[in-house]
Amino acid sequence: MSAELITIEAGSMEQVSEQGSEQLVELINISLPAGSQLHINGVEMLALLFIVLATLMALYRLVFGPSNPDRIVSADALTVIATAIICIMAALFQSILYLDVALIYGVLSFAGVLALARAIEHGRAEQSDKGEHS
Amino acid sequence: MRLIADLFLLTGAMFIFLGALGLIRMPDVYNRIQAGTKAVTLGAMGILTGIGFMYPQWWYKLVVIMGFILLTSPVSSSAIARAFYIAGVKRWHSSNDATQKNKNTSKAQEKTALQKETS
Repeated sequence: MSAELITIEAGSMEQVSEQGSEQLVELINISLPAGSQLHINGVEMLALLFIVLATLMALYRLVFGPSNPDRIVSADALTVIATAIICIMAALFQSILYLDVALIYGVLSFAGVLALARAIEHGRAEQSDKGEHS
Repeated sequence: MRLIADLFLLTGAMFIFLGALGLIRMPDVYNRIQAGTKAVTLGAMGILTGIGFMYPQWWYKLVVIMGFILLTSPVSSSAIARAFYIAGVKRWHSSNDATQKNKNTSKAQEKTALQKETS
């Protein structure tokens, strides 16, 4: 299980495994607190890859959706995916503060989706369609 | 403990991936709501459970976030589906849509025509 361990220290970046994931290491190394270490094995890297692919597919439906309801549905799915991604960032950065960010993001996205649904339901969608999705 | 966390994380990521795949492959808006809500919600539950196994001292905030996602995600998708149904978004039908035209009111037909123009 721990065949591919990647050791990251803040300040001096050291990478044990030789293949892949340099960009992820650079991405993580930006805001690690000093003295903290991070271990990512292969299973977690596979999970991160699946989540990245899912986000790209949902973004494809958001950008190239054939109609506006498809875009709204994919935005609703993307809020849940973004909440999970913020929790993964909390696990990667080893800071509990990101869980507060995830909770507040969930509250605000729920309010936004409900307001959007209510706006469609009461028939104001055709006036503000071009303004929302531009 | 790390093995259980990795198992939950991989399961959650798989469910999120399959939900997004259904978001692309499904033929209709309502089918996409089903795929994009239930599978992605279960995947988020798995990922949060995995993080809870990885960091057991964070369990209270993770339980709050899990409960909030479990409460709000079906409500928001139900509100979206109800709004689409009221606004008259067409359903996908394999053979014909003869039965669908009888159910729409005149106002919904106007909205459907407006959405055809805008989209």
